[in-house]
Amino acid sequence: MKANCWYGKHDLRVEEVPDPQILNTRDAIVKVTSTAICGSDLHLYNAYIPSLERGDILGHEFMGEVVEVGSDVKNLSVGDRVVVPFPIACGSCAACMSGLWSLCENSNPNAWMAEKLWGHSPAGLFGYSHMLGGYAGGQAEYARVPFADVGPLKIPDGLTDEQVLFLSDIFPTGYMGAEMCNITPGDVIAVWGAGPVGQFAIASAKMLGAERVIAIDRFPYRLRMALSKAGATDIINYEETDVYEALLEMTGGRGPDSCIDAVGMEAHAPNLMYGVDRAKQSMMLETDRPLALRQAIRACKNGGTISVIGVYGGFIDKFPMGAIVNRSLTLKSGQCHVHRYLKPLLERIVRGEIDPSFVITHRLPLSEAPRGYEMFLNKDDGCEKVVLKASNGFAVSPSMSAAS
Amino acid sequence: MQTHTQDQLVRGVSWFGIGIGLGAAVARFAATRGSRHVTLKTSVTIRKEPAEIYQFWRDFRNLPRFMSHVASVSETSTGHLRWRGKGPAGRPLTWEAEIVADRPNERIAWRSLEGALLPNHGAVLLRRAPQGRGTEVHLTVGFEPPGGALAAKVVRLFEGIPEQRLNNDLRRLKQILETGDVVRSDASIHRGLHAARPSSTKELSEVEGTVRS
Ligand SMILES: NC(=O)c1ccc[n+]([C@@H]2O[C@H](COP(=O)([O-])OP(=O)(O)OC[C@H]3O[C@@H](n4cnc5c(N)ncnc54)[C@H](O)[C@@H]3O)[C@@H](O)[C@H]2O)c1
Ligand SMILES: [Zn+2]
Ligand SMILES: [Zn+2]
Repeated sequence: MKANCWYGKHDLRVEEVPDPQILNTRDAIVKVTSTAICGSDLHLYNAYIPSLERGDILGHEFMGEVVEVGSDVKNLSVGDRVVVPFPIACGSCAACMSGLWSLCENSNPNAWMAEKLWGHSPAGLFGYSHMLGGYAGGQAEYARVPFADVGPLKIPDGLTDEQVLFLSDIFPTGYMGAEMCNITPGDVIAVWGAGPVGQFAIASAKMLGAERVIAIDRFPYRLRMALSKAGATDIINYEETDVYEALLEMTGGRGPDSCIDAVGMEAHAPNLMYGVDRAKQSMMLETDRPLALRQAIRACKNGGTISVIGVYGGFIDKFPMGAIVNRSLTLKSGQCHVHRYLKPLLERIVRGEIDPSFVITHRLPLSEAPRGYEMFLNKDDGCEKVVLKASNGFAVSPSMSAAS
Repeated sequence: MQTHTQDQLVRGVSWFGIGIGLGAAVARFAATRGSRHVTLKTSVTIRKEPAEIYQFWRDFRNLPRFMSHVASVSETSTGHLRWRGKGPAGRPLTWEAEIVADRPNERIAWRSLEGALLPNHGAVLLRRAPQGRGTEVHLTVGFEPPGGALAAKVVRLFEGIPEQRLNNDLRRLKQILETGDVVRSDASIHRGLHAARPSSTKELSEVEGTVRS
């Protein structure tokens, strides 16, 4: 089959690899019909996440048709259309039983590697380094899905791939980001990052009853999408406006009730700190640039919540712990516990409360994955979200590959 | 099996620019080597009743399913255990052991008999974790490396078993008891370095224990 493989920083190759096979009796093989490129993939593309190996297949947002099931998978049949959550979870360990699916205690066979870095290991993830399992990803024609009796969500007829694909990651992730804010009527929520994850955090904050949702980014087209599609009430372009002052102005000096970091470890800033953090990162004095996070902590109201869904990999510098302690702030975070949100968010899609396909700007055949990454990284051509269509049994017409 | 992944980790961690090293297990192993007696300890919590874990362990034939340095364990006609260890380059090492303690659902201990090239002992202790959190499994394994050139070779065999490796064994036990099988990823089924991508049928035929549906 064809798969998008990592060969180093900014070096991806779509090449022929063996088809996946059943390795455990609870596996299924899925013929991938749609798969997407995530901001998390950019951290791999930029080689900021350790323990990737040349030839690793990337991709953790995918869906498709079940073509084979292991002997212990009773809930799926060949032909079922499923969306696959990006964390791999067994469904029976203590973490899974308490709904912390992205912390499954059994799904990372390389748990010891993650323990060395983080103290304990989270779940294994599709296509996301050896430290997080060494599982092939879904940017491929086929994917092996472990614990297929637990993860995949069957999709009812009448919904397109594009409407449900993002249940695999970014819609639940944005939703969890908003949920961690414990929104009550009247709340003002500020969201750093108007990438796809930020868009869903904004849309979810609105769904959960926020009074105002403020989107912060520097790309006008992304801020426009936040306003017109995701439901942001206000936008701040941090290259033009002082974010802290603007937020105080918008909230009568209180600061936002909760702040969501949907940026992560590769934040950018138009000031000196960007250069300082970038230099430290390149000299390995810190591994992540926490520019948006610092700003979010500073701006948040006393007693408020910082919800971090942007991904950090290692260590950060100049962390404003003083603000957290002295102003009774709460910091919440996590890789999304996707399984928890699959059914309730599918129901919202079915009821027409949201159509997640609004973030898609580019559709490319799988064979053009490397171009998709480059475009998404550089925010070229108004790129917000790239969906890759696997070539198998899925004709990609020239019109489909053009930007919408 | 550990060497390639440790290389990866070293690379990964040095990339992160932090001197985390390979962890306390290796350090402890190195420190105890001088005294000739090596004791390794590790533990894991499993969401199962002590009785179920006890029964699984007490049938020593199950051990190779999760212990990477054990090829087989069988009971002899005299009620002893015959162990076959996985040696370097596929050379097996066998020894006999007796069960020296057996408290159902609590503790099993074993010790190699006279004549073992590398005298060793082990014990597994089961302790109920608080408030329905399952069962803590505490494993202790000890070796008494003898002197001499032959023994030095044998010791080298066991140098690959620091606590990390023992802990990986217990994780696999947990996987078997909680999920029904050892969890496998595209990379983890291989002893050597393998990219996270499917294996060819030929590669798979060389991997032990993978299941075809
Ligand atoms: N927690 C999870 O489960 C989870 C799941 C998916 C993605 N993520 C993470 O979410 C983050 C965003 O993902 P994405 O797909 O939206 O990526 P993206 O790269 O498209 O979006 C990031 C956005 O942040 C903006 N940005 C950069 N610096 C900023 C700053 N200082 N202030 C405000 N905005 C800034 C960028 O301009 C960009 O629009 C990534 O770190 C990704 O790894 C986390
Ligand atoms: Zn993602
Ligand atoms: Zn689990």
